[in-house]
Amino acid sequence: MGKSSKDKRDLYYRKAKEQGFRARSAFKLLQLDEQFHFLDNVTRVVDLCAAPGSWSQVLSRRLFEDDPENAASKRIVAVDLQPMFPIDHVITIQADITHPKTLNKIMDLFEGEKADFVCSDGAPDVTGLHDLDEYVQQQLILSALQLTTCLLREGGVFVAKIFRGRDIDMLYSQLGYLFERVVCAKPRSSRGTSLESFVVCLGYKPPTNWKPHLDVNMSVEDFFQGCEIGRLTLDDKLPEYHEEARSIADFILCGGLDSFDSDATY
Amino acid sequence: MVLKARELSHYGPSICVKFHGDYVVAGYGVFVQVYEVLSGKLVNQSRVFHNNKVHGLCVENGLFLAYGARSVSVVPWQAILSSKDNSKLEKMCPEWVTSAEFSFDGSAVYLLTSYNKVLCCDLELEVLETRVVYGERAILYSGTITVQSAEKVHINAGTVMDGVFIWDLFSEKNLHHFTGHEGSIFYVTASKNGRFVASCSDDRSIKLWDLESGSLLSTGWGHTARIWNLQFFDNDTKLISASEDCTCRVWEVSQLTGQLTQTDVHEIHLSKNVWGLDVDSRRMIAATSGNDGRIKLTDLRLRTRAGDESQAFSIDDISRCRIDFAANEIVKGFFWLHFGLVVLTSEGQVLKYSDQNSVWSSIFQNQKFKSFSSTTGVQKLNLVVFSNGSGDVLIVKFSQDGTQVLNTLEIAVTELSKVTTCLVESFDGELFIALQSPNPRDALVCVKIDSAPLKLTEKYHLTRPANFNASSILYHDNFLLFGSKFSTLAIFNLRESETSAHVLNRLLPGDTITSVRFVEKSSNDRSLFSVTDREGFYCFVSIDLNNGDSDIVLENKISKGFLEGAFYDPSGDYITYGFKSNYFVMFNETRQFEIMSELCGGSHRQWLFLPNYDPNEFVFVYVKASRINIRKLHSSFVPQTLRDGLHGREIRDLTLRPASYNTRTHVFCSGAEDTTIKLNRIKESGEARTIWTFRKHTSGLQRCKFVSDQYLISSAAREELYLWKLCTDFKSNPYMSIIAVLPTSTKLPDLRIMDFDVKFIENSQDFILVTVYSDSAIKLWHFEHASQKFALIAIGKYETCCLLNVALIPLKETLLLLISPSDGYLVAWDVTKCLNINLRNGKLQDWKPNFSLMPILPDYATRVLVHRAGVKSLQVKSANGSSCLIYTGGDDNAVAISEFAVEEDELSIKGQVLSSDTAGAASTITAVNLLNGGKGLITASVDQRLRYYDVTKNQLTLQDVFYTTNADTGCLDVVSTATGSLLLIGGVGFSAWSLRDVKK
Ligand SMILES: C[S@@+](CC[C@H](N)C(=O)[O-])C[C@H]1O[C@@H](n2cnc3c(N)ncnc32)[C@H](O)[C@@H]1O
Repeated sequence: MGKSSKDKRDLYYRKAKEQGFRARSAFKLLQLDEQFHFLDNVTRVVDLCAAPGSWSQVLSRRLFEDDPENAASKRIVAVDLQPMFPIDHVITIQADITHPKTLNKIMDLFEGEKADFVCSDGAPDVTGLHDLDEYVQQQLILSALQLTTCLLREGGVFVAKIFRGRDIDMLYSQLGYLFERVVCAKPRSSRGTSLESFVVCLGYKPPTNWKPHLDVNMSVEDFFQGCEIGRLTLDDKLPEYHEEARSIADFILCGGLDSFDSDATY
Repeated sequence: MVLKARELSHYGPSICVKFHGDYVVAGYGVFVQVYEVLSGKLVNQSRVFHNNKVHGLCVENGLFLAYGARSVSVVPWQAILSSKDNSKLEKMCPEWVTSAEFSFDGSAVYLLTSYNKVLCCDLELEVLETRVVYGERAILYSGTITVQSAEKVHINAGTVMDGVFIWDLFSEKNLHHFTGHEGSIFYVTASKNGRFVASCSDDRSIKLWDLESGSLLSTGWGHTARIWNLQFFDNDTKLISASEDCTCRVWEVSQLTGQLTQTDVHEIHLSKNVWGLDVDSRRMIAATSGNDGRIKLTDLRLRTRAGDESQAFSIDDISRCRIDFAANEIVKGFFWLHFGLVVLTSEGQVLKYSDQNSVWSSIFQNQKFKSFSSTTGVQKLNLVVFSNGSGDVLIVKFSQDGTQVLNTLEIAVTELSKVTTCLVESFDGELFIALQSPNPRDALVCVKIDSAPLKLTEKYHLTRPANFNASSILYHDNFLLFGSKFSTLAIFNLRESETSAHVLNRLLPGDTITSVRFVEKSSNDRSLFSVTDREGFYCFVSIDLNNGDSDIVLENKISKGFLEGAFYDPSGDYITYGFKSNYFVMFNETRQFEIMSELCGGSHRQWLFLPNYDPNEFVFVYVKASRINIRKLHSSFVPQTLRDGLHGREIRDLTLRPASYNTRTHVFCSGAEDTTIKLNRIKESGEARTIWTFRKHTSGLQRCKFVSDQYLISSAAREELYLWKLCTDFKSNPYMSIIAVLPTSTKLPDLRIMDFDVKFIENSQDFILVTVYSDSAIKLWHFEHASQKFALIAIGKYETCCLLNVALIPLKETLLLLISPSDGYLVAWDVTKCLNINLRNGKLQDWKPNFSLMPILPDYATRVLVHRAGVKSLQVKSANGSSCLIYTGGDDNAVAISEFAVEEDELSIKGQVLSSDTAGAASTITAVNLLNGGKGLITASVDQRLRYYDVTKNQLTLQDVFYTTNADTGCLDVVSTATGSLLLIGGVGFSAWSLRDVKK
């Protein structure tokens, strides 16, 4: 067996250790925020696919440590398939976010209040079947989006990890129906050699003619029926092959030029 | 002008495969391929989907059902057999289709989606009804549908977190919830008899469940990696599993207890992902397919099909044929002839075993050969040769059927103090026997014997070279070649046997040469030999036998184990054999699959491997546990592969040799994440075939590029960079070998060489090389052809980012160095002075070494921000003497044209962006390539699209977009052909396209 070419240690890995983050991923969120400032003034957030929890750590520091006021009204909920070690001020749930029951659980924790920010850094088990991996990844995003439509306040922000594969332009197009601006952003701490990027969706604006309605018996596709991003039409004949709407999102590299390039090795 | 692009061929993952009568049906990308099982002939390839890959299929009642991703299609089976394109019937499902089956009476189709929902459709795929279990709608990785009867249909659903759900389609109720596995369930299937469910997961185990009681019956452990597929076969008495560990395993399913017992392991694919799996229970063959694009057939009865494949005899067994043995008499040697086996025992008794009637008989006894004996022979002449330590040689010649000894000859070679090695070779009825003593000063005594009457005709005393201990022999054209220890080859001219041998030292990295074979003679009178050594290396060496001048045209290593020999089979495949731990293994090195293996206990045994008179049939004889074992390998009754793939993992780079190889045939190299480099041949029809798989790199490939028709350079992590030379002098194959290795900066380098570029010095084979590294280092080298060495001639650095591409661009009297780092800039240097190099009219004239300090690159001359993220690919076109155009594709989805020019005064360099398309793709643009002498630009991006731009006015005018079926599209290369160009695109697999310009 050949050895892989990936270099294991890089500067971000060491930096994460120094700053007490559980994963180098923390810098991705920090660099995205540096660009978009979406964490300014947020009080209630959901961190999906959060284990081991470095994003939650960032959120906890931002919401509680940096600004201890109004702690009672603030909330961070973190969800993952994997168990997570506790983080101060973070409520953790071990569950599958594609399961409709999970979304109900999260909704309950918000007691009818809206969230300002939803993020998902989810990545499925990679099987090596590129199309399946990509599909499952997009389903994770759609599940996160499902929660978002039920929970996010108008004008709120949604951030999710994407892999820029074959059908990514279809996802951009879908997100375009729900947000004012959709950007594809790549933090410098994310490897240039990987296809990983993040969609940053700014200014949530739900379509006026569609009411999200969570039902444990509905799949993601069912859920978005009626909203323009759903694929199922009311007439149930499976449609013939057709090109679906695609659009290309703006691309932004985040993290100043002085920040470190994660592909560089020293 | 418009570009006409046509996909010629596609090689890539095959996710499903199924037997149907005398056919094997496989999903191959967007296509379905139908092969005849017995002949392996491709009956038809039919496109069924526009863009999605076929993940599963079934054939029933003359209808064919295919599904993959969100696509489904029902097609008449006849149309699959005859029509090239059935994609107009493709329908889209709103969710991913995990599995699909016809209903019991065939009038409906069930589609199980990834949200555990079943759409019941008619044959036109109109949804009649939707069925689900209330509240259980989480995502599935796997699932199957078991249609037992019109009323009984079960859904076997494998979830991400919750184990397996079995539910009833019509009552919409969960029947069972199996929760014993850890992690995602990757496959679940039910036996036809309705008794068992088998599932596998991330945890590497297979679990068998009782469908009646819902209890776990047993767990099958054995696979060393994730398991992807499971199928019951042979009336549900057996289960077969395919795994990421590259094997498929057969399990006996106890009908009483539900115990799983592993009975067989088959090595099937080289790369880890094996997806498709099916068994033809009538013929007992398995079909598998995977990420490597290979469709493989495995004979599950390889060892019992003819019935005589495996035989074993103890001395007791043999004595039952009324043969007397002394106490402690054991087998000392054997040889396989046309009729069967000839054996010599420790008492000097010679036995023969007739393969026709399975009878052992004693021929004679000769006390001289009691001890220190060796047994060998010549199959063609139907004779065996015994020798002993004192130099006695006994030749026994048999009749064709073995019933009679026709002739014997005994010779005594007295000039050697002691004989430890006896090597035998023959040519045209003549027999050569070489005897060697342990004393290096003794001559190598060789006798020539006429085999017809068995008469000694000549005796040679060959002077042994220093450090020489012959281990293999070859006669060719009046020369005797001996392979020896210390990886030495000695060539003796028998016409002038007194003169000393030509000696080739250190031919291979290993120690003992195990075989030498003649391959062919070139038109310029050089002979090509294949040489193997025990450590697993092999090489092809081109030798002028008259003066010993030699050239290693290929050197390689088998993937694991010891190598005892290798040869070309009649179809031109290179076959190796040797030992891998306790196994003897025969391997098709060209097509990279194991032909057979035998658990023999290892290489220290007495063993013999010979053809069985048919070039496709072999015998392996060995002694294990005091038994003589005879393992025969008959040629397979079905082809072993229906389609050969290429790499099992992502292709990182591919490069076409600029000049064609033969008429309408080209060679290209591909380098992949699996660390191998493959040298391949491709016809202009698109048909490709791998010739050699090189395992020189130890890490994933970064780049490989032909820098001329003869030279290729490859680079990878750990600062690996090799210069290869291609040899096209021989008819058998093109050959390729490393002629120089770039020195590394430390003993344990861990930098990646991201890219390199080469400029030849005019009228010489010397060149300047530049390499760029992942830590932003830049190094310039001079390659001297005479010494075949690289010398570092300058170093430099750019900021602190990874450097992705580099080019050396001669402009008039200036040599420009251009890099693209991951920050989106194009950065240029004038390196003429620093390198002490002279140019005239854009040609490198000469280079003078700088004997003082190592030059360090000054600050860059200029840089231009072209992209918002890393520049992934770069192509250069020199526009006129003083300027050049740079075409780039970036991680920011953009394509751009920039210009760099040397100002009149030759003192400064200016760069600017001329044109850019910031929405050049939906994803990273990984490759750009100029076409038509620079009039067109083709780009490839990870969104699996190729875009063709007109760039005549230095503006990017999009002309056309094509879809490619290769995921992770990462590289492309183009070569001109008589009718246009041949384009290769690499990613997961590769595809070949023909490009033609047509007038509007
Ligand atoms: C890259 S990690 C997240 C890292 C995290 N943001 C941090 O900073 O520590 C991706 C996570 O996605 C989770 N995940 C994948 N599929 C999921 C699903 N269906 N539901 C919940 N979590 C999931 C995985 O368990 C994994 O922990």
